[in-house]
Amino acid sequence: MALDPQVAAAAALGGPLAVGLAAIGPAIGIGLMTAAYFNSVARQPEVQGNLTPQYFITLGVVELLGLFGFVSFYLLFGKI
Amino acid sequence: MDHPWIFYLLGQKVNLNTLIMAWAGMAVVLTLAWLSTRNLKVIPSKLQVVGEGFFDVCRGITMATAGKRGDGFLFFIGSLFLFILTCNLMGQLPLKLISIPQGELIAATGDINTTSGLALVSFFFYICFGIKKKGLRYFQHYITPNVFFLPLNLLEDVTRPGSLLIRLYFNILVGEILSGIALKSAPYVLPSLVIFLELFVAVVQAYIFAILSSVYVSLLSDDHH
Repeated sequence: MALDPQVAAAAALGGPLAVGLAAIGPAIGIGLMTAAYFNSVARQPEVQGNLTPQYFITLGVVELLGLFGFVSFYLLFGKI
Repeated sequence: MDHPWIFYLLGQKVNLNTLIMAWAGMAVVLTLAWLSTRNLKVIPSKLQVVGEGFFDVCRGITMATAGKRGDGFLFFIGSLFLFILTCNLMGQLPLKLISIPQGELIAATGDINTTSGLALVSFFFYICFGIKKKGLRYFQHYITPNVFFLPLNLLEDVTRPGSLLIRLYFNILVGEILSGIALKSAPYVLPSLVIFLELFVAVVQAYIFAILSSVYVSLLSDDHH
């Protein structure tokens, strides 16, 4: 499928940019979350059993936002 | 991934690469389950200890989200977790050595059809389980706290399975792409490091899928509101 070269160039620029920019937010979020998790487990080791599943639930929710960048990259990849 | 090996069954496209891997995953799960529960004893054999360990992990997931009530849907969450875990881990086997007529074998969960199937199963299960537990009062949660939240609550039913399928599919796909790049740039060195990362991701993603499904099921079958 022949595409407009300008569209292809914009897609080639925008795709990796989307991945990189979308990674910023989840990186900060997961960093804060993990720091809080370690702090509370170090302070009170007996809460680890209760906290670990909750940690992973939130990890899944936060991480999804980073994947949306990759989704847009994947969609733009077809336009190159 | 570019040219999958397909055939047509009753007018539907069937992706054989995924089908082989998914059935291989099912075979592994079923064989291990059968072997580890073949003759149960009070003093367990080695395989029985492994089986009990997996059972404890699955029970931990439902206990963490629903407590004792979780035993009612432990069968579903457990099979979901074991199947996804096996499929994810099987993607890290040296599958490129096996030559098939077209395309290449990748993890079954690295195909959007498998993950959509799993997400749909999870979606229908939490609706059916909620209706079974709460009867017609299940539909009450669509209009809580008041009727103006109906669109938002309906949208939630789309985003829940949607986010489940996107999370699993893209995590595994990123892993496949990453190991492909590593294999091309520095053979033998980088891929072995990437595989460690991928093994971690495989376990975490299976755990997250199971625990989020468990949260949805327990949330919507809870009587105490």
